[in-house]
Amino acid sequence: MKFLMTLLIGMVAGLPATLGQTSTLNVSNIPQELLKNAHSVIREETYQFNVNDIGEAMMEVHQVITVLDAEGKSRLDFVKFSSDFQKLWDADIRVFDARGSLVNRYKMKELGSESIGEGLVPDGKMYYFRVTAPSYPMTVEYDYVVKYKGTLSYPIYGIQGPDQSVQQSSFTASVPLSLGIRYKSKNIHLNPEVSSDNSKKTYKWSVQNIKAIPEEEGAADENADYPMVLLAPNKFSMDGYEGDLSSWKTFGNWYESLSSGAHDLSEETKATLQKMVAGISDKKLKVRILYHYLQKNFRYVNINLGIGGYKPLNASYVEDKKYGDCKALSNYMQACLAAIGIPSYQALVNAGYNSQPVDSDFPINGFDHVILCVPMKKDSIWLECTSNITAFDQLGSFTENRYALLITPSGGVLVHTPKSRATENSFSSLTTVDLSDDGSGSYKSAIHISGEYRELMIHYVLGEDKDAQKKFLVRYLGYKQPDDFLITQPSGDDSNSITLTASQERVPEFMAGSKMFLNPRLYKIWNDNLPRDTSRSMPYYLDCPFDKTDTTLYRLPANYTVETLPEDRDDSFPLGSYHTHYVYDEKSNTVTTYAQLEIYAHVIQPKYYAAALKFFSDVVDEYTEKIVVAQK
Amino acid sequence: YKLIDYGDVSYDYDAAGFKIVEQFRVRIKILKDKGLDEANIKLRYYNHDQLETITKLSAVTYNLDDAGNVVTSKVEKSSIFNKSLDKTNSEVAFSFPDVKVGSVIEYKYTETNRDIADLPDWYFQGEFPVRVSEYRIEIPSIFRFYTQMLVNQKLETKQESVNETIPLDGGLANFVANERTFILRDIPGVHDEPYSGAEKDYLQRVEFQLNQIAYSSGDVENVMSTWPKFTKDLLESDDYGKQFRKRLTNTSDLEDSVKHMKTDYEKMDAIYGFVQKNMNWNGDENIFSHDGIKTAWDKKSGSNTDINLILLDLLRDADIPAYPILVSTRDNGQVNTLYPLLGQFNNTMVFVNLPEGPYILDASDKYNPVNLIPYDVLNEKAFVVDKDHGGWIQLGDSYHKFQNTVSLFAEITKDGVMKGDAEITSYGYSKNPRLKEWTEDKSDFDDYFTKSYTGLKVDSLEVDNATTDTLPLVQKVKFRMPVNTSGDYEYFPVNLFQGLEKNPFIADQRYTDIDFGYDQSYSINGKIYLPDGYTFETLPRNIKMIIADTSIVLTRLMQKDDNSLDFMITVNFLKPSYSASKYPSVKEFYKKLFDALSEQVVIHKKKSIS
Repeated sequence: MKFLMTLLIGMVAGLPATLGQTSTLNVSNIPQELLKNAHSVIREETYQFNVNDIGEAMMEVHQVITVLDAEGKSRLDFVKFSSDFQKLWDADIRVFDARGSLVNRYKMKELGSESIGEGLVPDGKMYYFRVTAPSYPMTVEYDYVVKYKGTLSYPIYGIQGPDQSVQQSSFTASVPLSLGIRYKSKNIHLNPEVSSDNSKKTYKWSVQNIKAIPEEEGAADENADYPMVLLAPNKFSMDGYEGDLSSWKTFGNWYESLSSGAHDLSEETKATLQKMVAGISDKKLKVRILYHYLQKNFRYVNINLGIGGYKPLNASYVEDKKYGDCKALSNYMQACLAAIGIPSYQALVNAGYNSQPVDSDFPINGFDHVILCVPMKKDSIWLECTSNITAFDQLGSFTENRYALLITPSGGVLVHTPKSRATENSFSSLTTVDLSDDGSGSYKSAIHISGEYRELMIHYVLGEDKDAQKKFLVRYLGYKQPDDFLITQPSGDDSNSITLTASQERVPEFMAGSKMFLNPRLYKIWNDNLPRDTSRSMPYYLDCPFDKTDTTLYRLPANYTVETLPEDRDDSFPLGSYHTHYVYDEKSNTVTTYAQLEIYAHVIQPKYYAAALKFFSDVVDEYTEKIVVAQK
Repeated sequence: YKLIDYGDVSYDYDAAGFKIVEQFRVRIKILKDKGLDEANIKLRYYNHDQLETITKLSAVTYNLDDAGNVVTSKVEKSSIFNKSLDKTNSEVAFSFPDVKVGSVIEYKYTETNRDIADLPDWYFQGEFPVRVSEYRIEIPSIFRFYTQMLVNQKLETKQESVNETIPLDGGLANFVANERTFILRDIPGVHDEPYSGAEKDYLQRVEFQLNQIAYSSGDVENVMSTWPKFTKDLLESDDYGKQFRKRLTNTSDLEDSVKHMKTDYEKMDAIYGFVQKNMNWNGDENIFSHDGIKTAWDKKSGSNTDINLILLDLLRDADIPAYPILVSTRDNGQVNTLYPLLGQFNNTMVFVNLPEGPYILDASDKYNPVNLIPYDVLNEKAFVVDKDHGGWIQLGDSYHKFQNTVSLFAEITKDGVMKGDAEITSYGYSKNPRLKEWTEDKSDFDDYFTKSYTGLKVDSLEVDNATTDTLPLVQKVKFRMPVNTSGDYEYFPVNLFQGLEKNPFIADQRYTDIDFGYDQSYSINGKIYLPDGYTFETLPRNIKMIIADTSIVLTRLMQKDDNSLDFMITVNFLKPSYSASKYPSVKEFYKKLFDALSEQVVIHKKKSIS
């Protein structure tokens, strides 16, 4: 039965496109159920992906998309990336009004284009065209061709995006029998219809009448939670470098072969490195010394050139220039470690706090970053070689919690990077406030930071000018605007603490008559709003798990005493907890407030989302409570 | 931190004619981690027809080694990349080697330019502070330039005449060149600041405009146009004046309905609305209509000038006194009325002179009402392109402002929730952005009300007058917000829905002028009922706060009854701009203003009478 269904859908989608008949494009032809939650509808769509041989392929795309309202207008941006490996060959854009009559037509030569890439050398070209909508709803038709001159990455069949429904869509992949293809559907169960002749095998995935999935804020990167089919080659060729992607092991072999000979450090450099760690026996300490040497003297510069997108620059080049990209710097560090007799492996990984790890059972080039792993008997050391400030052996949520492909001499091995731990991203502040009876006051905070907070503080706060620091304190941390302040770092090279001293004309949030209403602490321990989704189907990504603690000591003016203290809190949900505690000490006339907010994991699964929403809203709510102090 | 920024420009002559030779030298000290990126250099140039080239590039990094000796590392030729960006622009890119915090990097290059009128302007100031910025120019006396110095620090200048010889027409020609040097020292860096104008309105610089060429024969060619000539040229241009009168198709419905209208105002309004509705701005800013307005009309999409020339055409068809005006929008910077230069303008709008008053129309903005000067050009100058009525006009409007008024009725329920209705009316310049949001991004419109208050929820929202141009946008909101509690106290803010929640001026230093563009007015009138058994703690005081120059006024009145509170807060900003020198007093006042606005009303349970 299932087979029949697929076949049927396939046949419908296979009908020739009926462009001349405008009536079919009329917006009134969209089934009612596809309008629900949708800002755009894919009316018809065909992808034809033809693999010619190991190194060349071509894709023809035909899309007809109706944009229902202004909120779907991002679908009117035709943006295509074109590089030496994947070149945009031809493009044709047609615009139709709500009734389906042709209004405008644009050709490839009318597209805007510009070189892109942050690096010294452009990664490729971006072609773009923004269709202006006469009025909504309206329909656009895109026809374009992409030529593949490198076949490591096959296209992904992304079936639908956020707030988008699909009337009919199909993807056909046709490959030489000798090469074969691998595929995997995600977030949808979809099997291809397979046929073959004596030279080629053809796979066809078709869908029809798929309802829109509402956009959920803060979800995974690149619509990873929406339906799609992944495609990958077995054998591929990039710029003449042939490889085999059918297993992680063979993919690792290919990658390793690209970097052969890249460990060409001079004997002189090797000797210098050996001298740096002479007399030290602890392996971890040796690695740390070299890592700090790298951080102090080298910097990240993005350089891509053809196969350079995969092949690292030689270690001697990096040594000479003192810069490189992630591949080059990781390769250089690896060479340095080798020079002092410590083996390490480069590891390919997909970077970003909310980007998705690769599927372990489906080898694919799903990586965009390289880090370095130093195997140890227990707990390998992981090094992020592109950052001048990241602490030793810390990756951060940028590359933690996911699969990485270790490139070993015997091929690729898929391993887990460390799990993020709350304690590695800590922010702990101890503040003493001297309050005067006119509401003014001065305070001093000692703040200890690690992980993401350390990078944030060092990068965005310490080195900045005073007004930028002030903006950070007020806008990011939620301090009241101080009249005067100073941020310093206690001496010491690798310091994890900063000191803030400040004075303020008015410390209480507000006063009423002779009463002062003091905030539980001087800044907001949590200063963010989660999207108020009542139901969620996709995980929500926080930046990282964290642990924040605060102790604030209010020294009250002599003629004041406490009238009301907020109640202690003891809140928790499966991924976090929040505790507060308030004490008034009569003898010293001080109020001490204590708070700890801990989030164990930064990915909130849909089933916990409602609880998370309540939890964070309670944390925010707690700050609105006040310590009421009144004249004696 | 830039230690040296040096430019040297002279003219040279070769077989292809005169060219400008520009030598630049930049020395930068890297002071912190973030500055490391400054060691990646990208030099963009215009290489269409080989008009510009970059040569003689050299770059060196200087470091101090442990012994205190200077170590130099050169950028090698092989690490310098030249890439073409698009059809007309190219870029030379390189990264300095061996750069760390404390390094000094220096690069030099020569740029030649075949366009002899394109004597580069010199910006002394930029994002980073500069120790010395020096610009030396040597111009053959046959080229006469207007020079405009826009600096507010002490500028050192030198001027000298030098004799030069160049090969000219097979022989040698002697001529006198003027050498001028401009030096500025210790220039602060400028960052983004809230409500600042276009960069080019405040960065310190010196500008040049070629005025005349005096040939050795004694002839003087006027290169710089005059405003009348400028107007004439534009009116005769295929891409401008020739586009004024075109037959557009499918406009008969409009013509029929306009025919029956009595007043010119009605007609103008109808035509403006018609173009606004039918034409879509394609995002291009251009003072010419390159493809012509007929093409734009057929495609229903075009640049701002295309759209407004269509508007002009239709207005003139209806015999309405309409004129094209050249404008420079707020982001593009102020225009200089001295020089008849096209490059300083970036848009064409339409000026309609009716007995009721002048109207400025920009039909590429779908949300601006007919009677409001577009915000983009408010308080700017515009040039009317017309043979008889041409000239400058000032686009001022002292009547319309940015205005929000709120009336609010709410009760505090027994379980600690403020619940009620608010009606927010957005007038003048406040309407346009809200209307845009309402039309294009309805689902996020709540943000205007909820963003700044913890726990505030909008139960229902109704918007009136979205389609009526001349009426303010009325937003009716039913809302709920938990009040805050501590022990027996409950407290709540009353500065609600006005749109005055965040103090934008917290920085201690400010370099640029504050430019709001318009006057502003905010007010809230409200009544809040208390639950039984509660009474007020001391209320925030009735106050009137006025800034020293009286241009900002806050008034707050609070009147309590047994179980209710009447309050009124108004804030009026009566000046559209402040010079940077006034910033300290503005900042000080803003702090007090927002302190006052954030004061909350405290209530507590009545003590039971025993």
